[in-house]
Amino acid sequence: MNKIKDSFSKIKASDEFKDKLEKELLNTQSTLKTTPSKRIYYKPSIVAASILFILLGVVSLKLIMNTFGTDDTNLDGIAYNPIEKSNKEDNNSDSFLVDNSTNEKEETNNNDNNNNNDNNNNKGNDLLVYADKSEPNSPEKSLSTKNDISSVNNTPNEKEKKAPSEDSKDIISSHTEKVPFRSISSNEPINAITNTLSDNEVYIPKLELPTTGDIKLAAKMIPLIVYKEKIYTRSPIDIHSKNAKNFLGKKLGTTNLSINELSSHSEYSTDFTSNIGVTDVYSVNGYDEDFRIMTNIPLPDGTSYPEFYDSLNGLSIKTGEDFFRKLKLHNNILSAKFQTFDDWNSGNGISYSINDFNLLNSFVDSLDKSIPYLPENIEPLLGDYGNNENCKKITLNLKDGCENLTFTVLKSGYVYYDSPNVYFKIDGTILEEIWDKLSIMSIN
Amino acid sequence: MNKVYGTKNYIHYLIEKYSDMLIRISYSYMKNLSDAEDITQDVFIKFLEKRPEFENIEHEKAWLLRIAINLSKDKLKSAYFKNTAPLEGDFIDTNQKDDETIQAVLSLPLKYRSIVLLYYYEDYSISEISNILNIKESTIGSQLSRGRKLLKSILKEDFEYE
Repeated sequence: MNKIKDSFSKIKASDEFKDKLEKELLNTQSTLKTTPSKRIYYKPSIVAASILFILLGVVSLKLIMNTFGTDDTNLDGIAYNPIEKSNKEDNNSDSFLVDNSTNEKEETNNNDNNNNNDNNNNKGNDLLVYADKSEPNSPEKSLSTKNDISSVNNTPNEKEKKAPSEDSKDIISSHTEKVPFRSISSNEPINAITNTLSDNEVYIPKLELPTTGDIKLAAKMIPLIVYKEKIYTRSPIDIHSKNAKNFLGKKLGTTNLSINELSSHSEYSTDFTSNIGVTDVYSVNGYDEDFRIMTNIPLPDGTSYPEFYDSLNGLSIKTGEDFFRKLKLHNNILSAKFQTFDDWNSGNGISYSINDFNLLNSFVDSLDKSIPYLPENIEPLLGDYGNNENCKKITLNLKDGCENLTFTVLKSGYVYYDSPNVYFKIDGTILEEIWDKLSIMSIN
Repeated sequence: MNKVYGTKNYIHYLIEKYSDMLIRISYSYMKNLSDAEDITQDVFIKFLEKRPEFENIEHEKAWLLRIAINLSKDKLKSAYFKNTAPLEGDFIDTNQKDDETIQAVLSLPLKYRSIVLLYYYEDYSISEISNILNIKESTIGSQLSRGRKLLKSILKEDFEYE
């Protein structure tokens, strides 16, 4: 038992308190609503019978329609037409929309059109899959649709391909925008994927908050502030108290409602609603108000506790620059260090300074030129990279006072920043140089 | 064990299983026992009101911890709390060495306290703490590291990592 455990084990509820608490809770319980749980349970036999009944009804209906009501002579006696189904799937908001203008399987030829995707999204060999974000975008699911639609030539219109309009006023309501992503075969080499995706942009959907009282999500609350119909979540960047005044811009308002895991959905719709208590909110000097705001809670010892809140959702990213320029990394690095994965994961405080600013500048430049990927598309291929062989953590401190901007750098060429939830593929040569130099530093 | 919500057995189970943990985490924020007891009671009331469903015991524990932390933060930020002074004397049975350690942890900045406690006392990993507090793993790692350094400087001795 460590020292803290030993000492803090002395802090515990007294028997007297427990007795009193038990009585209080029993009294409270008797006054609480006694409505039964909303979940309704059915006997399995009833459920099975209902499903069977519905299936029989659907099949009967199909047979009747095929017998009496169709002009398509090819469909005589056929209750299920795969082509028709695929077309319907394209128009169904709950299904995947597919652009595959050739009948060939994409796994074998996706290396050929490396440079043409910007012009040829609707005619290349790539299989683009548009997924409703309200559904899990698992690659397995995408793959499962491939076979069904391989013979179908349905090109979604350009409007569907783009990120959803910013016109949406209800930032909280569950949306059904079509977000482009590409299905990836699990046996496809990473480089092949990279090439064929070089001009795709990714869209980080607007932050969705639970619309129902999904209690299972309750322990996953993110510190947030609602401002101008956007949700700003707490940034992982640290700011020293002494630097707070340099960042403090004009006061925008004061958080006016304390929401928590138990708040209803409607409570998220007002400006300055937050779950961080009541505190003043400011713009941040040097940073775009649409991207970053801050709080600065005064502490009793005269210092303060500044925090950034960033809005990194509802965002289209075509290259890394679309995101990283917001962080103002160029010519702004004060110091840098890196950690091996194990040192970082164990929190042992061991790190290595990076004094090669040319290397850091190359890193920042490569971030700007990087290509974004949604995690659901790339993580299955990256595998478990949480080890010293494949992962390092680079942490930057900036001249303006922003501290601990940590980038997860993978040997496979991808960089992950804490937010938004996107991987960025950087130039392989630069990554190799960075990786080698960092490895040498850690050995020395 | 009768784990039907609201039964006397269930309430007894909740209190026996979690009250120490909730008192401890609330105390780390409030720094006084009476407020920690108030928060613990509030957590249980919320629990009985909301009747959340959990995937497993760990989920249940994490939920309770999260609610206790939120209620503690809310209370610390409330105008009432800011304008009142806590009662003196906590009547915690500790020796001098324990007390030094407890005070050292309580003297840490707020953001480090719960992380240190969850890591060292509740034996949560960085990843698990990240889930409970909804803070990025990298932030947890760096804050734990800094909290540890601060503790080392306060207690003038090396600190165990595990």
